[in-house]
Amino acid sequence: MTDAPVERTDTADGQALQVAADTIDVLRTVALAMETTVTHAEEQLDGTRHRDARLATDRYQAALHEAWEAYGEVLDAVSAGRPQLPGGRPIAVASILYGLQTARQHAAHAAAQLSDLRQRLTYAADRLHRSEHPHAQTTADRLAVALGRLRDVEVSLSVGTGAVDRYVDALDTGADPPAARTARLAAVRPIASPNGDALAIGTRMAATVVAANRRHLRFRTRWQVFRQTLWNNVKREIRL
Amino acid sequence: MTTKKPVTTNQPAPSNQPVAALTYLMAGQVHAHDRWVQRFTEADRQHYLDLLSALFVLCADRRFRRDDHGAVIRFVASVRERFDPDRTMVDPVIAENLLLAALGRHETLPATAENITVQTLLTVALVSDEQPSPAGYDALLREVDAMVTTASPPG
Repeated sequence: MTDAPVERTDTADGQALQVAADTIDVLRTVALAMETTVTHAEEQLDGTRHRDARLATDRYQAALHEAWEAYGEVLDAVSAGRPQLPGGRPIAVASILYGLQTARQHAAHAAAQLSDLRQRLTYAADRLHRSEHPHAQTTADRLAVALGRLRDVEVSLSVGTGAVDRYVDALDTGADPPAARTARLAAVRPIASPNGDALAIGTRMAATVVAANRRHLRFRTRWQVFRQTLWNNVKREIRL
Repeated sequence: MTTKKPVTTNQPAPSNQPVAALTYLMAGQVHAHDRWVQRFTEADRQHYLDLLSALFVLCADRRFRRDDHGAVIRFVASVRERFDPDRTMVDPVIAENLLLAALGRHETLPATAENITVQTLLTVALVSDEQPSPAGYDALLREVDAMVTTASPPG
């Protein structure tokens, strides 16, 4: 049986790959812990002139960067190695489902905090806005910006979680695959077919309202998408 | 007469007139939207309504879970706050019923000008809230187009 040593090598390679794959969860935990570490340290030490304060934030940021890099390397190596190495097992559906359920739980936890968070910030912004102190007005304005961002977070979490749910359903039970979903949604009619007059009047009225409140419309232009990517890259470089 | 491009894309305006009009409306370029609408044939008008309806249903399905009535109420309140400060254009009951109808939790509403106004405003707000990138908006329109093509012809 000349193939036996080869099989043993394949099995050993596959097992080693699995050991590496099992560390991904831990590496992510380490990187997320470093995010919290850096945030807390920077909140207290940012702007402090003491050399140890600067050293602490510098080193924590470097550790954070390295932790994410290590996580990325292992993830990429395992993903690329699985189909190449004979003993490597494909990613099981159960593993994908587990990961997505974890992501969903975190998203749900974040979404649950938002309502209370927004209420408290709205109160603070409202109270400060009524103050006659100029710094209070500035603070209120910044809180209002934060409130706008939290609304964006709520929308993104909602759409993202819905997409995860649909993907999980499709993987898990094969329910509502894309073509069936398109057909299901295409059959929905919120409004009966109108005559030309109703459509013309309704469209005209809506357009007037949109024109009057155009400042509330937000889209990302190609430049904004590019700028965001650029900014993310710069932040990564700064952490080096 | 020159036609300005919508802010959402650097590509030429779509040749399909209803799609072009809808793109301009979603970008808030109402004058360009009106110019396209005025050129509509009867078939264009029907296609525009189908697109608008499909976009509304698709965005509602992406945004809300079917059983989360609270999120629908909060969204309607935010739309009134942003687009209807005088509280005269968006009837909250109509708005909520339209969204529930889009989620399959309410029967079809009659085609009055008021209902069409509210549905259009809700659609603009839903799309705007997602802050789609140009590529994301193109993908959204492709999905809407697939829905309209999939839907059986009226009658």
